[in-house]
Amino acid sequence: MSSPDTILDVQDLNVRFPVFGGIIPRKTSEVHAVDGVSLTLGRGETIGLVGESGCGKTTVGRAIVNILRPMNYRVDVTGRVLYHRNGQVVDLASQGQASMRRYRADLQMVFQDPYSSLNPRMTVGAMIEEPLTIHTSQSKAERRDRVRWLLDKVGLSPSHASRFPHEFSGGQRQRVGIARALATNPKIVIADEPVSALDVSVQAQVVNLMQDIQQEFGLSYIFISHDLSVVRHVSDRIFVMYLGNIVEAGPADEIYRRPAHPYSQMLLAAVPRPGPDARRTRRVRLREEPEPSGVAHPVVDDLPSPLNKPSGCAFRTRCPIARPDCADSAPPLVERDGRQVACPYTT
Amino acid sequence: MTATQPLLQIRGLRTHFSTESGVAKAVDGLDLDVRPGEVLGLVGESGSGKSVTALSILRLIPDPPGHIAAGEIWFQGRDLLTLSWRDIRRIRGKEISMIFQEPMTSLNPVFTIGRQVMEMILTHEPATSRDQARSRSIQILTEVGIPDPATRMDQYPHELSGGMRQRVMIAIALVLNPSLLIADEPTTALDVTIQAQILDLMLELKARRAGGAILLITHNLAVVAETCDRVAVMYGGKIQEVAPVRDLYRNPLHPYTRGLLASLPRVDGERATRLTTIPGSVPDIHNMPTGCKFSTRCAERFEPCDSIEPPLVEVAPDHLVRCHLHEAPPGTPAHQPASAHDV
Amino acid sequence: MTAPLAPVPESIFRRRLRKFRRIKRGYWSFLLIAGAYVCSFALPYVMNSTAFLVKYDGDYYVPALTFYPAATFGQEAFGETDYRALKEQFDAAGDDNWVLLPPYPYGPNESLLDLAGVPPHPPSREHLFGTDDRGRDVFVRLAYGFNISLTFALMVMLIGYGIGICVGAMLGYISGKLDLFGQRVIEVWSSLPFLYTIIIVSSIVVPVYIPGRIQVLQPSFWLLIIILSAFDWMGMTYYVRGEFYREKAKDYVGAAIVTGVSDPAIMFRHILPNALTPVVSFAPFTIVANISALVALDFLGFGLPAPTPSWGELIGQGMENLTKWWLVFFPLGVLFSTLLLVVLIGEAVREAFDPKEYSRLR
Repeated sequence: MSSPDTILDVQDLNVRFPVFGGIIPRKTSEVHAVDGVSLTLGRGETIGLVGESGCGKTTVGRAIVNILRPMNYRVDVTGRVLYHRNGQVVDLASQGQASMRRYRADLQMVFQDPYSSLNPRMTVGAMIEEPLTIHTSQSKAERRDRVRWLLDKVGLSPSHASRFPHEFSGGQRQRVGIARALATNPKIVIADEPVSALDVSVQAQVVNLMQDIQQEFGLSYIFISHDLSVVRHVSDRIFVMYLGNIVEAGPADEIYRRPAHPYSQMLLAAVPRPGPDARRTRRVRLREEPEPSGVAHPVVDDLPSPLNKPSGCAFRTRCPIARPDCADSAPPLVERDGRQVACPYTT
Repeated sequence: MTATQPLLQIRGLRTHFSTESGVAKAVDGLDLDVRPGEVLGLVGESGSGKSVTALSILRLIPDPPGHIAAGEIWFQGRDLLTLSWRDIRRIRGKEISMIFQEPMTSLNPVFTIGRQVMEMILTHEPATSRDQARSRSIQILTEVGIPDPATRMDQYPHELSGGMRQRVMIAIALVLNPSLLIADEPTTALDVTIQAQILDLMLELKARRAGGAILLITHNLAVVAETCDRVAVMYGGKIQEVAPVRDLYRNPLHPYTRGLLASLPRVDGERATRLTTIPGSVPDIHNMPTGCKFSTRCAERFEPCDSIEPPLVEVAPDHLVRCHLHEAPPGTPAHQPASAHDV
Repeated sequence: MTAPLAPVPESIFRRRLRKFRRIKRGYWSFLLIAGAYVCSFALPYVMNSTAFLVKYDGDYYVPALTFYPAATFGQEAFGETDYRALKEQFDAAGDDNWVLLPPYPYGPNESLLDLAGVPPHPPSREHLFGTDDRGRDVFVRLAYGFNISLTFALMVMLIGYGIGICVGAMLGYISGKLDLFGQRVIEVWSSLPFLYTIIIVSSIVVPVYIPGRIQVLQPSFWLLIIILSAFDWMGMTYYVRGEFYREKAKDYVGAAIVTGVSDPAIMFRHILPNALTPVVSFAPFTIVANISALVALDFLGFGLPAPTPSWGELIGQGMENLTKWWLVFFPLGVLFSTLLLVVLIGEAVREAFDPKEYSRLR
């Protein structure tokens, strides 16, 4: 499915976290956090990965940059992450930590929490300089110049290089994180909830900064977020995830205009909209279930725990149009109206 | 001013924190009315002082380092700030109750749900029998939409999902029919579908229980648009604009309010190529500008803004704004409610 | 447009140092203890029976640096010159020979047999804290004991923490099977009875005392340090392991991995500085524990060999001579004040490292 313009091609990615129990700890079950996810990223494109907490979107991002194993030794990753580099194709998922280091410069990440993602004991300059020391043979003076240039690019002052993270506000820290990710001239940046922890007025600044940088450097973004309005603003294509599966994928404008999967519909309906004529009625259609008294009563529905994922279509427990046979097998993603939908019954 | 007597009247509230780097004036001269039966949204970014305001109302400010330096909070003819601890404890939960952001930590993990709901009743109404308290608890849990409440009574918080826990928190807050519910970011920690359900529930409960007012504290302007009757926008420890919700979204007057609304990305309508931003960041709390608190970031700043703090004036019916661009129409007195020290 | 910043960058460590200095009680205790400790290295020149400088028959001698047998100055004795006697002799003679003695001219291991009466002698103008049951000046022995106790405690802490941090870092960072087995080994090791091990080791390796060599270079001193360190490091591994475990899951470590930083660099350059909070805040209390351990061992007779000046040995004497109040009061008083000051430092350090903005002590 990859075109010449594809830079990253993720095929059938599976991530399982074992769960240990018993007197002598052994694997008793597992959380299938990412269940056969496939996606492609074009050069200069931004794809958005949306979903609620526990849907596996963050895990997908971390699996692509191959940091799940080094950060959590008990994890089982299968599938292929094909990185197209100068006409060659490399499977990043099969690289060990040592050989992966060769591709690290091309593949960077911006993290959600601007407080924990910067080392509190290192100066901002040292943090941005570190990737340059590892991946380039620049002299100290050249690296210093580059750090200043990067700080200027992300809207900070070069004199901030000698500062420590705790001296900055959340938005400024996120700019430092972006400068660090840009240091080695990456091709792909995975942005994991980069603006979720920021205030509204600062959020817009950082979103604009990321878009400016994308244009200037020709970056490809994988933008992971639970905030549907931000994702819509930045993304060319959208992947909607639910409990480890992609349930709908396609051009952003299409999906936002006419969501096809019942989950996408529910998600979009739930987003509150600012404005003078905001609706003040029930936003989320819930499955109705007769009470013992015979009166239909809306069922309070919650996300099932990833530990007990429903069989078949994972969304069936919350789906307003679920049928009995939804429990039998997981519906595959099917091409329809210029997008892919994993639901045979939606209209 | 409106004819109806406000339920809660905050006048010149100042809540300060002594920190290592000096005195942080988290709330610095705040005037606010909550009217009976309304949902009032208190909107602001982090550090604007909105949560501190909520905690000050119930005198929950940790002292030290914080203390309420000045102000009056009138509720049912009494100034909450002068009440004894004994009296304020009687008001907490019974007259004014509060729900917090974190449904994970607001419930005590070692007690059952039922015990925590019943405790609220038995603390404030010791005469109630345990059976009565139990049936009232089951009733309120049903009301907040918890399926099979009798079973849930005997479960522990960790057996419930985040949305369900927030429902329990709402049940605890409402079981004694308080006349004011303060909800501090009640849906921020929740997923968007669960958030929608909780907001629905709050509106539904409000419709069902006439007279009770809600003070909804949030940073989310969309949540406010869909739930509130009036909105107060806070910045730098002060109210900058107060207006009925439709007025505020149709005709925002304060440059900060306008900036906030413009910087929101949207899920509907045309997709903007670029977001509008407010330049800069919130000023350091130890180092607030002397004039208008927003003057350091305001695009429409002019001569008096740096040095003179504008007063909060009523520029249109029920629409108050604190900005030099908007003077009170001639003839109307400035909104100066019994607080000579707040200029 | 950025929020105003402090005029100079301030690292977390500097900020904590500033906070520590504001907690007066702990800061002054620290200055007092550190000052006394540094000064105590000059003890051989301040409290000793050996003279600084001697002028004899027109020549100058520096006994503080070189050993002179008694015969050098015409004394009829074997071994080292008795400089106090020499001074009296020269002063009486009235010629231009003279002796410059240290301000407190008594040595730590010198039995003052020429004093009137039977030792222990009560305090007097010459012997401020009196003498012990072998006629040695208690004040001098306590002063030397301070240097030995603190050096000992610091060395045990440094070695123990060094091992503890390295092992804890490995267990916490590499985790997995290494962690599982490493922890079991530590548990087995920490269940070895410490006191019995000391007794067994000291019965096999007979402690020797080399006269003339300063205390901290005695082999027995180092043997005891190594034995104690071997039992002292486990506690710190738990804390450091826990810190590494927690820090490793933070995003800045993820960012370092994404950047391609090598494992040792992540461990030592990125995580370790963030994992040192428990290490630093426990240090003063570890010093207290180590001083107490040395005192206890000396008291029981399994510590430093005689005649090393030690607090535990003096406290032991005090217990045997309860009626000789100066042997009870002064050693216990000195021990108590030292430990109290170190605890005050510890309290201030803990407070300075508390991330809370508002300080309880001030």
